[in-house]
Amino acid sequence: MNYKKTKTFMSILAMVEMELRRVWHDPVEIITRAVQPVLWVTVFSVVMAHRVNLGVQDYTSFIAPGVVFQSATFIALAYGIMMVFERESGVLKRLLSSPRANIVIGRTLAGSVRASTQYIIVLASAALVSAKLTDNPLLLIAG
Amino acid sequence: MPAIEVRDLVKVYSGGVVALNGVNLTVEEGAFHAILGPNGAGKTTLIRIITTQIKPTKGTIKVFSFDISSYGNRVRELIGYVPQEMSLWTDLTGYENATIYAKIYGIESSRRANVIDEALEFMGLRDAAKRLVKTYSGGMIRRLEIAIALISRPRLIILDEPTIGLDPRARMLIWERLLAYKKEYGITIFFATHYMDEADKYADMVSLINRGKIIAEGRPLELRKAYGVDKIVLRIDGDVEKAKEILSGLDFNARTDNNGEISIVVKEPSAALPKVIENLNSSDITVLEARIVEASLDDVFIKLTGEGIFEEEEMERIRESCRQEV
Repeated sequence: MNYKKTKTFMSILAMVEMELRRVWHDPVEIITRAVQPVLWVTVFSVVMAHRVNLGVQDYTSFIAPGVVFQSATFIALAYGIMMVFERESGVLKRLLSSPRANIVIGRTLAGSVRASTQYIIVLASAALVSAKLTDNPLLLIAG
Repeated sequence: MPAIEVRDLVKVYSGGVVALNGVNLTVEEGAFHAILGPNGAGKTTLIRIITTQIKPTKGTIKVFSFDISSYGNRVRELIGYVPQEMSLWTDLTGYENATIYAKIYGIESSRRANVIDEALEFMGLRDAAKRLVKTYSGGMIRRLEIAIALISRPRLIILDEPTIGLDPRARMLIWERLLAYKKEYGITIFFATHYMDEADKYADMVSLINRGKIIAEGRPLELRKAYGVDKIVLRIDGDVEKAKEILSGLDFNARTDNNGEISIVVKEPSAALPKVIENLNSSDITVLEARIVEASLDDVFIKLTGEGIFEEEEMERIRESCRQEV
C-alpha cells in the first residue's frame, strides 16, 4: 500500500519536475508571463489610486479608455507572440519567399484591425453601464 | 540556361555552425532534381538561401540567371516554394488560404478565381475547398500547400521534404500529381528529401549532400551503378561452407547471412547468376532459391559517407542555429 502511495506521489512530482525543467531551459518565460500582473501593480494601480486626488466621481467613464488601451496593448502583445510562432511554422518562410509581401506593415495592420474588434466591445459594454462617452472628434484625437 | 546555379556556397550560422561548406550545384531547366541527405546535412539551409529567406556567407546563386543577391524580387516571382513546416492558416478554409496567398502574390482579381479553382482541382481538393484546413488530413494539407505554390504559375517549384510524415498512399498521390503537373507545364522541380526510395523513383537527377557538401551527383541509376553493390542471394540445400569454397574458387566474394543464406557481391549479377548455379549444381549443391538484390541509393549513401542517414544530433544543432537566424 505504502509502496503504491510512493509511486503515485513520484508520478505527481514528475510533472512538477518537468515544468521546472522547462522553466530552467527557458527562463525568459517567467518574465514574459509576469508582464501583465506587473503592469497592473505598478502602472494601473498607481493611476487608479490618484483618481480620488483628481476628483474623479464617475469611475466607469474614467476607467473605460484605460481598459481600451490596455486591451489594445495586450492584443498587440499577443500578436507579437503569434508572429514568433509563425516564425517557427512555415507561414513566415513562405511570406519571406513571396514577391510582394510587406510582412511588417501587413501584420501590424492585421493586428490593429483585430484589436479594434476588441475595443468596440469594450466601449459598448462601458456605454451599457452608463459611462459617458464623448462624440467630439477633437477630444477623441487629443485622447 | 540552368534553373538554379549554385557556386561555392558557404553558410556559417551565428553560433559558428557550418551548415554549408562549399556547395556547387546545377539544376537544369525542366529537371526533376532531388537533393538527398540525412537530417542536418544542409538541405533546408540550401533551400532557404535559394528562396532568398536567408543570406549566404559566401558564394553566388543564380535562379534562371538572376543573381539572388541583386535580383531577389525577380527571383521570388519565378519560384513557388513549399517549406517543410506547415504554411497554412488552419482556422481558414482551403479556398480562403489560397485566396490570401493569391493576393499576396499579386494575382489580379479577374483571373484569381480561375487560377485557384484550377490549382485546387489539379491537386484533388475541389470537394474539400470549403472546409476548414484543421479538418484536413496530412496529405491534404500538403496537397493544398503545393496547389498554392502553383497558383502563381512559377517556372521553378522548390519543395522542402514534401512528403515527410505522410503515409505511403498520400506520398504516392503527391508525387503522381507533381509529375503530371511537370509534364503538362514543363516546369522545373527541385526537392529535398531524406527518403532514398522517393529520389530513386521520381527524380531524374539526384545530388547527395552530407555535412554541408555535395558528395555525389547523377541520375539515380548511374549513382547506383557507380557506387552501389548488387548482390546475389542464394538459399541452398547442402554444405554452406563447401558452397562458399566453390564460389571463392570462382573469384566471388561470398558471405553467410544470419538466416543461413549466402550472399555474393557482384558487378553484373544477372550475368553471373547462371555460372553460379551451374557450378554449385555440378558439385551436388542444390540451389533452392536465387534472387538478385539491386543496390539502392541507401547503399550508395552509406558507401560514400560510411554512415547511415539519420544524424539527429546534427539536425538539432542546425535547427537551433536556424531559429537564432531569422
